[in-house]
Amino acid sequence: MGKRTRQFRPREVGVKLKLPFVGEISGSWTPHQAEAKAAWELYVELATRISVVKLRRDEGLAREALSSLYTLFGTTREILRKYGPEVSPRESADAITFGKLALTVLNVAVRPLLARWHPRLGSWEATRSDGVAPIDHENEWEHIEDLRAEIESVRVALLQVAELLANVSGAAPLTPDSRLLGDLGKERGGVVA
Amino acid sequence: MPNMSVSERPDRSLAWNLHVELASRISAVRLGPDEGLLSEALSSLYQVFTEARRALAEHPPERSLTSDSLHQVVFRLLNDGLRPFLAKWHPLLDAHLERRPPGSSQFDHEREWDQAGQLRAELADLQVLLRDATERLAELAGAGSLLVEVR
Repeated sequence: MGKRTRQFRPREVGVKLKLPFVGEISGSWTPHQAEAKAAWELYVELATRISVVKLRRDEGLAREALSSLYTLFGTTREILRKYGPEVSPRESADAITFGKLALTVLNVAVRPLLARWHPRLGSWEATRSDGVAPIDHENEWEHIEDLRAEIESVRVALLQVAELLANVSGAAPLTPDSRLLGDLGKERGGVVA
Repeated sequence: MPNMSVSERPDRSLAWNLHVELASRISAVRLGPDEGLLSEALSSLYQVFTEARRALAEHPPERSLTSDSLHQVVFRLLNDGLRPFLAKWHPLLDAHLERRPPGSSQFDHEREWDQAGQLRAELADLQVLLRDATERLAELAGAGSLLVEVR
């Protein structure tokens, strides 16, 4: 990728996200430069993780999806520390900021999923007998479909967040462009491959 | 002073680091009665200690400390807030986990503990105190608070 020489110009971005548990987050966001840089880093994290890749039955463990989602806590903390208080400007107490968005995603969308399911799945995993593959054991769980459905709803929410972050970082046009997220973007539009 | 970078404002940076830690951990968000593992909640709170120690060491005070200087606020948060809770519950929980029978998961074993409810109640009290400290740290960092109103 070539060196970016474009000047950063703050521009207002309209935000409308549907998150599990909280419902809708809407408002406007005029990101400062630190926020745009932080947005790009978090976008890369989201776009390259299992957390936004659809989990099909027999293709991946729900456990791995949960573990991948858990790593978002550490990564987000690191990004927030790196860019400092500038990613949560005070003057916009009622507006959306990078910091507020990132923490809402963690504490309101990802945390409840993990708090509820990580211990329960662990209980089921403890019953696996020797010689049974982890994926087969997981798929035998009576609650596995509920868990997968909840992972899916968080994944769809993260996809929206990723799109927003791409816009804010200046990496994407303001109108959604399916090329940006590749197949992930297309899926969200209802075209499930 | 919005144009000053964080490196020029060490106190701001210290307050921000701790704000991020507290706002993103179990210190900030209620743990439902049937949610989470207690051992993981405690180790997350220990992580606040680790991060605070690192941040304090990296941000020495620029002036001699007074009782309301940021560094003292942080020392009190650790020593009067987190430490008594962890000192009480860490050994008790460990002792219970030692008694886990083979084949019983940690979640099930924790749920059978007769003191689990008390630990959760004291954690909820500690969270009230920590949320106040978290808000205060955001002010000292000159940042908008990252605490999310939850449920």
